[in-house]
Amino acid sequence: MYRLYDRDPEAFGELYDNYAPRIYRYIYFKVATRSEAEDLTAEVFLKTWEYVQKREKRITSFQAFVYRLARNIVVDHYRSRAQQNEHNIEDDKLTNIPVPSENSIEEILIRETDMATVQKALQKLKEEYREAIVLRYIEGYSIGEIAKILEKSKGAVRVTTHRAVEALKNELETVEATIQKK
Amino acid sequence: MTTHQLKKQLSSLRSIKPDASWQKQQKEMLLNIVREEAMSQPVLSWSTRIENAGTAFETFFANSFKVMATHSVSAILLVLVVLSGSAGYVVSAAENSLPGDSLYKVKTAVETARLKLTTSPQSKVALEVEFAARRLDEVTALTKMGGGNSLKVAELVSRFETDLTKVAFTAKELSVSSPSSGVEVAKIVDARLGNYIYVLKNTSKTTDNSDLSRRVDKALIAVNKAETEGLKVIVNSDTPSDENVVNKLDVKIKNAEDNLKLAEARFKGGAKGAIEAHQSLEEAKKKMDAGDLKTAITIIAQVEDIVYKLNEVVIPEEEVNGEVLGDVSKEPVKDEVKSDVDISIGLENVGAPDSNK
Repeated sequence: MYRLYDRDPEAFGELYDNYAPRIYRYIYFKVATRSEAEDLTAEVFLKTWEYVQKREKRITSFQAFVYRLARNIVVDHYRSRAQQNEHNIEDDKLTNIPVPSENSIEEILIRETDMATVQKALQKLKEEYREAIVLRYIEGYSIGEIAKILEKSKGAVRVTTHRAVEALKNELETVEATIQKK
Repeated sequence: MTTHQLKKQLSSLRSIKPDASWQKQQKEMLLNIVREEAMSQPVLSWSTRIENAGTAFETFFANSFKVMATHSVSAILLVLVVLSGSAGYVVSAAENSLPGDSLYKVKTAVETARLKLTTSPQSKVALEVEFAARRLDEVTALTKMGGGNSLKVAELVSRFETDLTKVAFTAKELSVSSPSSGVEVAKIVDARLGNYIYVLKNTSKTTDNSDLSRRVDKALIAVNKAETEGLKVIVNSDTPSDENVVNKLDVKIKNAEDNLKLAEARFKGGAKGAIEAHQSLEEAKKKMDAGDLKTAITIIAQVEDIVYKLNEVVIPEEEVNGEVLGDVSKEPVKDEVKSDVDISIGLENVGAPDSNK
């Protein structure tokens, strides 16, 4: 980190290599398309650099910082989209992120697998649960690390992840039932 | 799908990655921006670069030596090694740490080391006053953070109370062995008391934890006692007392009157000697009007002790042999106590109402 504050471009490059895939994945489960995920990921790292340059407050945990920044950027993204649209967007569209376009080749390919089913069910969860599952079971962060990222207590994170898994299991049953009907 | 299968499926979603060429392109674009901005900005000074390195060292240090930092003796040795190695930025990094942080033991070890290395009593008291103020800064910081820090705050408040009691004792001893030093020290202490009271009262307002409230009350008593001792030293010295001292004595008399009324209200039928205590305070006012501040402060101190004793009688199970017995809030508080405590014995010899008048 000190190399980053020392304006070492290579240090920034190393952080990018380490965190870009994770931040991309984190955002991917929050947005509708891959291109949105890409754009917002790029914005996260641009803003990170700006923040470091401003030197207003030291980043003590880059991991927690960059995830929080990603969260804020996604929220801002949906807010500005809501403002730009002529029609009102219901609040739940900010939380129930639509599944990646069914017409994309990629979606067609992955639809056949269990992974796709899980992903579909995941998208139907409320934001808080989806986020907990992404951080805990996809990214593999510990409860403590997640608590830092989400600025919650460890106890609260444990409860949320437990409930999230139960909610996902229920949702999976619904999704699988829907697929079988088709 | 079982939970285990589900978790396995979820971890397989880690295969979702950004397109490799997109990632490479993005990285290049970002690094170009970073390089351009880095070149266009002024070169960082050495002091800034050392500060940057120090911050990183603190993080590395805190992680790598976390076990060592949990033991006070090791922490003291560590501090000495670090200081002698001129890596003082670790020590300065520890200065903002709070209880629970890995560097907090270093902070308190440095304080202990500084006290041990200080020989002059005035300097020692000045340091103790500063460290007591730090405990309250930590209380303020933890209170602002909120969320389950009541226990840490309570321990800090108790520690502050202990430290301040030591300071008041040192100041009193010093006033005997070296009166001029005693006055200097009393003034150092007196200058901080307003801030102590402010932080403690604020802490009391923001908590509903009964143990913490009790400790804050005890700490406020310690502050009041320190103020009284300090005023005694100043008033008993040969230096003329300024208006500030007179104002403080007026306020102390008023507070003593109010606290006495509150304390005696808990006793059925009043407390024995309360009338004499009130009369003594009237006597203290007369002494002040006559310029006899020494007698006035002595009377005030005695009445304050009576008030403390009265308040102790109301919660008699609180302390045994100096050990706190546990959560007092769970034990029934005795609201009404028979007034068999004779408080008038504290008023012998000094300022007692002249029965011949």
